[in-house]
Amino acid sequence: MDPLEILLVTSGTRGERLLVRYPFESDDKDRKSSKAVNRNPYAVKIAEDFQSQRCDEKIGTEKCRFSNTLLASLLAPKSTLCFQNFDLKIDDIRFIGFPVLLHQTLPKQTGHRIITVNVVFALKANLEKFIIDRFHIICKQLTVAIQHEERRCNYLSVQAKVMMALHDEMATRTEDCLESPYKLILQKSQLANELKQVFDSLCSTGVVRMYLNNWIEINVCLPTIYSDFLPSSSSKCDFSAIEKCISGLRPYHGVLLTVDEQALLDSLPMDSTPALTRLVKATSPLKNIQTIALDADLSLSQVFQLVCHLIYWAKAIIIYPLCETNTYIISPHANIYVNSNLVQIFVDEFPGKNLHVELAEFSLPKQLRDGNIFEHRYKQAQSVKMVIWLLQHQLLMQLHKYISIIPPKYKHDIDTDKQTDTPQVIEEDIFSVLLEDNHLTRTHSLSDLASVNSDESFGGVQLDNHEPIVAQMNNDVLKAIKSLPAAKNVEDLKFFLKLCPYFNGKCHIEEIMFYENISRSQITTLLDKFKDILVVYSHQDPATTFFT
Amino acid sequence: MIKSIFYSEFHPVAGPKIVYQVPEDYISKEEFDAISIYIITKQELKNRIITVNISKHTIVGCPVCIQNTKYKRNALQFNLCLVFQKDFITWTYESVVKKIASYLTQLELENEFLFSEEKKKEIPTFLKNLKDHLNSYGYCNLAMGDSCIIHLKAAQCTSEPPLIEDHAVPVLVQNKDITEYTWDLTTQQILHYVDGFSHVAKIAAEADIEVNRVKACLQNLIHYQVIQGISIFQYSNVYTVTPELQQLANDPDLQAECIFFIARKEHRPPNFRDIFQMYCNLTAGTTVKDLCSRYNPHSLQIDERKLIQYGLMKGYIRRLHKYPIKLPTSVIEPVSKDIPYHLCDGCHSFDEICCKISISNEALDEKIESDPSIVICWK
Repeated sequence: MDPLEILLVTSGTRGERLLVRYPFESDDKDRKSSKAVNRNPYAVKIAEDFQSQRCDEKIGTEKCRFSNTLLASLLAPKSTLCFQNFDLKIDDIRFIGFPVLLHQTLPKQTGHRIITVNVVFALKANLEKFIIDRFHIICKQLTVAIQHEERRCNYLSVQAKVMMALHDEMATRTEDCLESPYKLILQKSQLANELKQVFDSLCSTGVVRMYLNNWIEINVCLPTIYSDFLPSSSSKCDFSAIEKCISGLRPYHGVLLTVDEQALLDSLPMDSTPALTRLVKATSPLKNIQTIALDADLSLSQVFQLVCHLIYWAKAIIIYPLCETNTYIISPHANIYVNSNLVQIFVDEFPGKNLHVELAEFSLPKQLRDGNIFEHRYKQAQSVKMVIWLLQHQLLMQLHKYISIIPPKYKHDIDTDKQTDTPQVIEEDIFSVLLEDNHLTRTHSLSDLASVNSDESFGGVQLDNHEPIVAQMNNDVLKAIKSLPAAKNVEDLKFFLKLCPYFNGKCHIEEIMFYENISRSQITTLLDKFKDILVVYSHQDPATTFFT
Repeated sequence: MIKSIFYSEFHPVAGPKIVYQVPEDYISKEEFDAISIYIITKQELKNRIITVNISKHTIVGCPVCIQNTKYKRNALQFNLCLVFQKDFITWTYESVVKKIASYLTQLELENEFLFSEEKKKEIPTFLKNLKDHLNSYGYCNLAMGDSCIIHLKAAQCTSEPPLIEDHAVPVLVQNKDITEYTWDLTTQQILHYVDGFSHVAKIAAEADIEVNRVKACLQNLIHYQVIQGISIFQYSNVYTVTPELQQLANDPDLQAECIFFIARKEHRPPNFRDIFQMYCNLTAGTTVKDLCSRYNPHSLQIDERKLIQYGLMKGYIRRLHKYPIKLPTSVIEPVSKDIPYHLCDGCHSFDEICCKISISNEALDEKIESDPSIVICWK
């Protein structure tokens, strides 16, 4: 995922210039070696092989085939392509940039005038779109910052003058001096150094946090920073899973910081929003986002944004807030290698304990409260701490209960014809059960129900909410509901119909509890009453698990 | 989908320009001018596949330059480009573009196909056919000039198919009758033994073919999506449901398919609720054996082997593997020879260990049970 090169290209009144190219040493070395290879007339020309091209790790050396002048003309696009993503792929190298047009404030300036500027990353062409998009963002931040600094204090012009002088100097030097001009530029130019810094930090940590010209903040990260959270065992890391998680965030979810709270607060830039500090201080693995919003005195939407921000920077993950009824199991992607780094970290954190012994406890789904009843309070706290640690390192995942309506008789292939004959009757039946109780003897067909809604005289019945649900239901289901003894009780039936939309296998019990503001026991009682047509099953919540 | 194809040339007076395009004016002149340096390129970039993404389109081309004094300015520069919508995955067409470029070069060198104004008139029809054929079939065989037929095919997925393990079980996902006779003899023989329950080593033994060749053939079949590898069925296995299961709960078509697959053929079809409940009761700690004794699938007309097979194929359930882990102990104990401690490192599941040291699951289980320094993680 690391970029191969960073380049700074400008075009102006005196043509295109490649001002910065980093890294340059490997460039020289490769060029020499590739020349040596080419000179050999017997060298085997490797036939085009798409597979190896896509897998080959040494793709990078290909870049040396492009000369500086060629790159300068290719990467300095026409002004019509400015202010949009630049994406050029040549064989197996992809160039990503975001060219901008500089508006010169001094119309009568003599000498070279820069018109467009483009910061370009050379990447391996086989990267996924998600990563390429991140590079576009990085390029955009850099070029827009350069544009701003140019307007503010002619930063680029001044730097370009330094660089071009060095280029000229090197060109006039004697042949035997093989030193790259870009090496010299790096020593003399601040901008070149800043770009080098961007490149180096992208390669080493994947995070760029710096000030261009000590003024404009550059603040981006590559998806490499999520690699700690992602399954190490899976062959292909799907980084877009992070975005899926963010879109699955709900107010009942909680936030688990992956770094120490104090360390996080210390790492925040000076001008960061105080709301973020408040949020971080209010965060606890026991609270859901709604509670955090109240405690930090922030609006829910603001908390959502800040939480997404923390996730983006890999400082937090989404969990369901810890409570006694939570059930955990070993994550399918947990790294359980006996000599992994985690083992030592775990011992440092919990002296006298062994990671694998503790983890083996979760081979079977284990509730947080299991076995804690007679334990000492200190021990309880310790085990909660341990679960938090295991969650932070993605070794555990939580199981949630999901509910689906599956009627006992589903006659798919036998008498489907018969059933289609009598849908209306069944629906009326269902309503009549509800309506009878309210002394409404009239039976309604579905078409009548629209008028019922608007008619105040039927207002006592709170059927309105349920009608669309009932209308959507399959005949099998309706029949099955009707035949249940529990359906005879109108209160139960009403409650059941109210919760029906959640029984689609997509909402877990905790979600229903949150949205309907009801207790767990209310739901479990209902599930028990209607157990003949419901099926309950447990699996992870896709929003809290990074892998899919 | 190819949105448009154009043929561009370097005109001695007008510079780079689009000569022919289907459909006309899909790429406007302004758009072309902005990117012409990537279409009609400098010499250094000739014969390279160049893809450029601009605001609305992705253009893939391969510039060609033929030098000869008969041309004005001593060279003919052309490029036949395919145009796609922005961010389309274009690499499957890269080989097509390259091949067209070399066909055109050859035709030009042999009989001045592009130089002669008369012959060049074939190009627009060719472009149209090319676009239609590639879009509808993914390949084409088009006549061009007097004696040349252009064969092109969009490349398929080139990623390496996953390796198949000794203890994995291949399952057919396509109808065997359709596929059987198009394969080589070895593959045909192997396919004969692919019944969805035999594992690779067993198939190799039954078909009397060396196991690595069996694996290579199966890998090939996986690549063509004829088979799928799943884990071996054992009554001691443990499975758990995945979030995918809700698809089955909500889609009547999938349910019908599932019932058909799982039914014991000679009997009446099973009840879907029974099937679904059996799936839902697959949880950590419940072996298939436990499940069978609880539900008696026989009486429910459910074939439990097919139930598990179908669930794995569709991703509704996943296997929980058992990983023995040898804890580091300070005390030097009498090392039991029978237990392969080097395999108990958290990276090898029971299946793998059993297969490696050829020992039955129960035997290994017994040995490991008796050793207190080994813990077991299920995941």
